[in-house]
Amino acid sequence: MSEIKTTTVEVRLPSRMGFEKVAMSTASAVAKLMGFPEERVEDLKTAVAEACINAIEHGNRLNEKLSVGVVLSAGVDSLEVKVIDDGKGMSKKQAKPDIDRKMHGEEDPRGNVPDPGAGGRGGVGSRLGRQGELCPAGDTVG
Amino acid sequence: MQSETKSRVDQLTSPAGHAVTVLRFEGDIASTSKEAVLGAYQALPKGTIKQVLLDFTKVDYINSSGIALVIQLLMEAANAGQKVYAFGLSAHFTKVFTMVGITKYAGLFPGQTEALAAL
Repeated sequence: MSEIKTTTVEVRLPSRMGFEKVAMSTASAVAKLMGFPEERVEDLKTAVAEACINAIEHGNRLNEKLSVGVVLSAGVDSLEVKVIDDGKGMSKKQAKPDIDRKMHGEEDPRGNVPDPGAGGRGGVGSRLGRQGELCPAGDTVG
Repeated sequence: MQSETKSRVDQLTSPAGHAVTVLRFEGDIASTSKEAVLGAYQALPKGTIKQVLLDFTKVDYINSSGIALVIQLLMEAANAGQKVYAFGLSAHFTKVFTMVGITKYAGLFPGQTEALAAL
């Protein structure tokens, strides 16, 4: 059996809004090196940025003493992105965002507010990630 | 880290003769863009404006906080009886806006010419 080579790139971000763009640029560069089509690179950028925003805002609660880890593992034909924060996880599944509920003021326009300390999920990044199976593993993008 | 959001307002007339207010954005649209997005919309004169066009041609990055601001703008416009349309989004953000459901409340067009022609 031949061994599959994996190349890993790691980035550590301060828990400050805006720094998700550093992870986004890194993921974009790795995906381009791997030959991802442009459309999938754009999907990946949004998925990674949104996962990092969740980690910064909900996982680490904007505590700048905590950092967000982003690990990109490039295999032969796959790219796994793990976004790691200090959140405690989610106690219950979040409802899928609903534009009609938002427009009628029944849901926060920002999305479903996750439990404090939990990594929020179910938004745009999550859906883009799932579209292309960019993230088959556990605590990964989205 | 996030580039500042700028916005400006133009008044145009569609080929059909309708008055159209264009809100043009530039830079990132994120959590720090409230004043540039909602503030600019809320500063428009109330009562006289029926159609609003959002120009995203010079916007490179929109995150979920930015999308929330756009949804809030759409809510306020709907409550004021105004119709909102948008143009200039990249193919990717056209997909994102469609995925989120914004297209149910705001028509999307590739460019200003197409948008004005449809009004």
